Amino acid sequence: MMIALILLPLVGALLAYCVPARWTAAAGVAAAVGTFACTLRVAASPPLAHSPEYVIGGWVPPLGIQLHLDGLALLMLLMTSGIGVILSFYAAFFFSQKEERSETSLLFWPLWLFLWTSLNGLFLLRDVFTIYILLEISLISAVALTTLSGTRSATVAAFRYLLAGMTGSLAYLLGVGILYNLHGTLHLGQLAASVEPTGVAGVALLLMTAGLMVKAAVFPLHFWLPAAHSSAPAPVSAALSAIVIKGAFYVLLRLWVEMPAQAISYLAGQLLGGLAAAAILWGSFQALRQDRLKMLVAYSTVAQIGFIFLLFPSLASGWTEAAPAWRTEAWTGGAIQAVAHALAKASLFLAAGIVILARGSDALTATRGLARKLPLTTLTLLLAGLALYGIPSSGSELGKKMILHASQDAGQWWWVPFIKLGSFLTLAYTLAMLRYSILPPHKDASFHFVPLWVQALPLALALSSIALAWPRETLLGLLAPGNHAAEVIAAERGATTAPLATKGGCE
Amino acid sequence: MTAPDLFIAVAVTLFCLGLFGVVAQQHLLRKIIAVNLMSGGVFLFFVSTAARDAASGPDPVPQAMVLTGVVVSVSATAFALALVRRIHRQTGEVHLENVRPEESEKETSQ
Repeated sequence: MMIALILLPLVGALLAYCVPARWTAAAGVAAAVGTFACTLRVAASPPLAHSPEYVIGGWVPPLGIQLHLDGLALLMLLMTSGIGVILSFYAAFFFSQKEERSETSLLFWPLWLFLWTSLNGLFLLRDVFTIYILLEISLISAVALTTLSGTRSATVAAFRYLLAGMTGSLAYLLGVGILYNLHGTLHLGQLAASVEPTGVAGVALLLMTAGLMVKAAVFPLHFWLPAAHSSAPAPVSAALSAIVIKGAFYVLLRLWVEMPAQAISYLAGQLLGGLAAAAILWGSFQALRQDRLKMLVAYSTVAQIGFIFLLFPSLASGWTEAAPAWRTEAWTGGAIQAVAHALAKASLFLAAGIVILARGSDALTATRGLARKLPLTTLTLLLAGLALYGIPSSGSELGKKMILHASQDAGQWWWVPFIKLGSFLTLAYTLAMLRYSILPPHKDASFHFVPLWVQALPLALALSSIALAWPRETLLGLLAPGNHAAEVIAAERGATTAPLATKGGCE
Repeated sequence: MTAPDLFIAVAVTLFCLGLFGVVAQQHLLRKIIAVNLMSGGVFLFFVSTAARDAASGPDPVPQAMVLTGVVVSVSATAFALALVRRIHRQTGEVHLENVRPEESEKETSQ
């Protein structure tokens, strides 16, 4: 069943490319619904801990490729497929509108499904080289999607995106090469079990981290993001900002959580934290200054990435043999924050797309009268903004609170003001985003009709971001240490029952 | 210094030169060449680390990775070149610095 999560969107992508043009969107939506259903099926098949592995073609690691499902991977898969299925219905409508229809717009479907394939692969695979391949597939499909709007700025932004992404991938790949040279394996679990805190391994991890930071757009390596995310068509912007950067974040999180903490220096954690804090301030201030809706939302992504990355300093702090509780709290909070951001950000970009469909522009001044003419979309923008800010019981509130606690427990109180101030700034640019919408519309301003079901799609995303922390116990249970690969490895490292180490001992 | 060590030194130098080129060069083609220089460095590194003692022969895994990496690199380069052609067609420029932002701003508020 697990392999279907990769095969289904892949086959769907090929089908969408091959079928006649009038069937393309139908094939794409069908593949999206199928993948969504498949993810739910995987999520519902209990118990998670008993069959978390699938070895493709019976080739065991280190030579073969192994799929591995744990709570964190499942959460990411659910996030991707939930957003993906809503985004697909939205895109089917969006690209059928005559303003957005062109001969290239049909290419959205194969590219988007390729992107989905690569992301599902990223979440399931534990082979650092295959992760590189999947990062490249997701990069190339994401860049190609960016160019779909066909404008000059989109092409230029796509080129910058591609170049930054390729450079990042190569840094990551060099790190992989060094680690393979040291330990003779590419399997993340086996690497984590054998990595020693030496200088060379440190350089390798540093290269991989730096490469992934470019892809996750951590300040100051975010330079490619605002232009690329704001110039792409709205459904693409939503996919890029909500999901694609989470792919790189996920790999980085795995790397930092599973590697023994001695291999990660305190200084590296502080450096990453400093950049995250700078991202919060810089992204928020830039968001406040924008006069275009999508640009504002794109800069908000820069800031929100900062919140998520504030989990890393707590990971690299004072490791003892018994892993301190705040380590788990930090990455769990970070993962929840990442999902909450993904839902809210997809909602914001899809709502911005509705504004563009209705008004033909995403200039903030064009949103005059929005509250009267499109009350549902205005409400969506407000709710998604509040979800980012973290109103009580929202996913963002829980995620931020956990990251904040982890920093305090780790004795790093200096990150706390950044989280508080950042939340306040989030509220500020949400209100700034809506400042024209409550004014009465211009007399000659025309609002095109957008069906209510389309307007309801981003609203559903915004509401799910707010409601994310309601099933709090389920959420935390899913991410609980017992459901996590790090525990399996910890068991392997010491215990006699080491299925991976014995099966994979081909070296 | 053994031969593999020399290769590794060259590989790291190529990687750093390429990285410098991506950042410092303005011409888009030069940027693409610089990325390829970086990947050349990485691939040389992989191949150099495959060296083992004479009896067991080289390690095949890094070589397989280089083959895969070359395929990825070629495709990505082809894509980048196609983008440069499109940039040139749309703006008449091969340096991004000369594309005036206000022109492109106007166009995107479609």
